[in-house]
Amino acid sequence: MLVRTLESLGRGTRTRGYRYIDRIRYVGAILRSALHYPATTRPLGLRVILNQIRFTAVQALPFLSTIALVIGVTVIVQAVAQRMFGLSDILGRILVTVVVRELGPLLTAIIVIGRSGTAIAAELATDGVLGETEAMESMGVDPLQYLVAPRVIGGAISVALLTIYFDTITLVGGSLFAWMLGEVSLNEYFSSLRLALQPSDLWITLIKGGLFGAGIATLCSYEGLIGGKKPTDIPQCVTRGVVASILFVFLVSTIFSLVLYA
Amino acid sequence: MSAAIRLEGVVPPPPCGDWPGPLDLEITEGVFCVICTPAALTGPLLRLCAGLLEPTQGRVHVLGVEPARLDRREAQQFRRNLGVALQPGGLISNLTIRMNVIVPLLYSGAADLDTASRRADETLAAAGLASWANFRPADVPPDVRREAVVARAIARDPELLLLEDPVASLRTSQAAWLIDLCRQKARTALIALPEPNGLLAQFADMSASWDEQGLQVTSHEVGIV
Repeated sequence: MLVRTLESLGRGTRTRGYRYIDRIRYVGAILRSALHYPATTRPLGLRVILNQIRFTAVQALPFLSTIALVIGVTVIVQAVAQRMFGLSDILGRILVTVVVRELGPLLTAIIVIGRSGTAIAAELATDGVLGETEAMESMGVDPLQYLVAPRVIGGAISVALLTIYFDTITLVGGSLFAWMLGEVSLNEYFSSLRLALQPSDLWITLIKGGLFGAGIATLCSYEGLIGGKKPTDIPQCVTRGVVASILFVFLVSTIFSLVLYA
Repeated sequence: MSAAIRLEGVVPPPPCGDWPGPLDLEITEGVFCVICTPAALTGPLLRLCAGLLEPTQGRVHVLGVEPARLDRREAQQFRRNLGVALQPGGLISNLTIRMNVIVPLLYSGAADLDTASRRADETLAAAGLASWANFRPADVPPDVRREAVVARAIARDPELLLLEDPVASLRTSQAAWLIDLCRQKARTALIALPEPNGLLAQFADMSASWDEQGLQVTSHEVGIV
């Protein structure tokens, strides 16, 4: 019994290990494909990138704005409530730490996983089921060049920009709401924020967002491409893509915090 | 004349139906060959030739190379010399029929956007599909989709055509027109069918059937190993 359990544990670990190695190889293959992008196809590739940005960033704006506003109101009202304990001078620092550095990138990434990561995994898995991916390969078209590389680039640009947008709406929108409730003076709020915000926060947010976007598109496209053999595989590909992306986003976020702020 | 396709004792990986046994077949350059096999074997046979499947036994030589032994990039380069139309057709669903023809031309590096567009328009017009060019695959009838798949395969004048049941669901006149176009565009072809087709046999230089009794050449102009 114990031996069987250990065997099964070992097998599971080995399978997962191979899968992680395969994902790393896949990242290498995407980079190679992107570097060998044929010059004749650049206008077409650009169109796919713009479409991905439209779908991932532009169409997500209403939903993202609502979430950002709700989070902004919640965080700012909570932060302002701490004034009674004499924390008004660190209000800006709390907001920059919580919203700009952590919550903004994380929530944006999770929204993008829910909207676009699932769509990428489902679309590529469906392509596999319908024989579109195989047809491309049979004609000498590299699916990584045509399907994946533009989505990874589009995803990275989208999440980087959406993160900045999310942070802005959260800080500005939330403060206006708190001001309307008479909880905070705008002057006090923005001067506290100005003191706390560093130029490096913008760069770190952009890099983090870009990395999240590229990671989500890579992991979801990987699951879609390798998994789509029959229709019942499609939901499983989507689930695996979402789980892997969420894990990736939290791991990267933790590593960023440890390296930059610990 | 050298062999465009040479299969030596080939068995594909499972699952691929009841493969009757190791297959030996040679098709010389310039020959238009129609082979009739059990329905489950048409796809694996052509996939072996395109290097999309690796044989578990035997060797496959196509246009002087063993496709299964090529690395990713070499395999892509090799397949750019082929025109392949497998089942299901695999037209990219979010592109129009016209873009479905243009994309492979562009990604194969064969042409820039203008040249690829011109060639796609010419091919679609020759296949009688000009009026459907700006529709997406889901919006056109099945026979038009079938013709579009074949048009995409022949658009870059391939050295070798590999077609899986290309005239299924087409009217006889349409089928004749399409196969004649294929003959004009490609010198060598292997067409796999799940059941005999008299029309295609008329266009073929070589017809064969392959089942449990083995490979039988019903008409031939070239040698079978």
